[in-house]
Amino acid sequence: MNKAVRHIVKVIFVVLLQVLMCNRIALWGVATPFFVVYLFSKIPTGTKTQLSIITAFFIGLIIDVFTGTLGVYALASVTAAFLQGPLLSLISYRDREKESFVPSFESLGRQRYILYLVLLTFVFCLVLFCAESFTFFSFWLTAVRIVSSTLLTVVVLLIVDLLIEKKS
Amino acid sequence: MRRLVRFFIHHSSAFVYLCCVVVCLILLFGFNPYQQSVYFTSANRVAGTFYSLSGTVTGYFGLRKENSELMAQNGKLQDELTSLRHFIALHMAEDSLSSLYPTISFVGKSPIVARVINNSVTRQNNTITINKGYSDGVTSQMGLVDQNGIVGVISKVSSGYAVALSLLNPQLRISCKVKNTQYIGSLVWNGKSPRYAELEELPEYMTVNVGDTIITSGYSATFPEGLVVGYVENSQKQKRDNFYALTVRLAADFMALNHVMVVGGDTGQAKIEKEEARYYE
Repeated sequence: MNKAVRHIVKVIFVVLLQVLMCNRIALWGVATPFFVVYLFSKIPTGTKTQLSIITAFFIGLIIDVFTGTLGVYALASVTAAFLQGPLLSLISYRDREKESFVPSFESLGRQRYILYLVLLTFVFCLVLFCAESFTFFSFWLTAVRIVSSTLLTVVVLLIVDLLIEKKS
Repeated sequence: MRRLVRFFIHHSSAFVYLCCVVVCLILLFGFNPYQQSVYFTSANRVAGTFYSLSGTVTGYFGLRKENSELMAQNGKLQDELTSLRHFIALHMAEDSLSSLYPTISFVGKSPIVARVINNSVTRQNNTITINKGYSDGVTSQMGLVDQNGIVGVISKVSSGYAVALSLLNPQLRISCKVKNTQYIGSLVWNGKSPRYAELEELPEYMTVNVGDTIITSGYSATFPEGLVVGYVENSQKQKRDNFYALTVRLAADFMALNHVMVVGGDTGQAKIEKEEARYYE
């Protein structure tokens, strides 16, 4: 299959999974998995940041249209895509200019990859929940939601990574 | 000048990011619930179709509970029906005036039954999407009721779908009263648990008991008087700025909404017209 077509199918699949399944999950009323972070975590190094930001904006906007929270997911996605590059170069010891690689267990090493996922997901959740409850009408509830959703998302992403790695 | 251009090129990703952030913030804060286009909510056709497809699957999950609730309500209605029949028979026999019969009819038009195809309880501003739109007679500002109590108010309508503000949305305030009293307050969600809301703006001198029923007051155009909203959870009133507030356990189970009825709307219009007619007399 064409590479571009495969990417588009992957994006549609992840967005639908997020909208139809993940957004309806709320463990203990607070923790929601944001599987869509998977897309941003797998941006290969060397991709033009402008391109990934604009793609992230539209992915976020589509989810917003579904959930009726216009601007919230778009803002979080754009921020995640913008900070993904700098985060990666902060964590990775490999020279980004030399060769392009997709962040994974293999390319980053276990500890660095987990740290990378935690930071990226945390940024996404922080922006998302702050934008959603901008009034901060319950600060602690928002904080608990950010932390628990970050943890749940990272666990889900790691499981998916392990499954895919095993398969290939 | 050349240096400026080079500066822009060097930081172009940051500028793209800033542009996107600005667009997002405009979307976020330029959000006017009454003027916003239907196309950007789940009332639009594509999102609506997906949600109703997934609703056909997830709709089965809560069936057992809903069924038992419907059975209970059915039983209650049967009871009421038999007692009403007795009542009518009694009256018919008493004053042998058969003219009583035609006067018993339903006021207003029959409610529209709809299925909930999307519903959130964990966000700060929760909404409900239903699979009926203006082609079925649903209009903005109509009320949404399930078998247990009131659920929300319709805000945006497309031809086949409608989005309602859930009771779990701080933008929605509903005029309510304690059953069998005349204490009026306004019900608003406090953003915490999907099971509880607060009845605010109550007078200091009123007394209530735990379990007292909270019903709609009929003062707004949306809901007729007397629909169940919830029950008093805690008789202790909390003082807020200038009024007192009560915690109310909501009658409707927002985690398991499936079928709802759309009510009101035209009766509200009729009420407004009646008020106006009275004003001009």
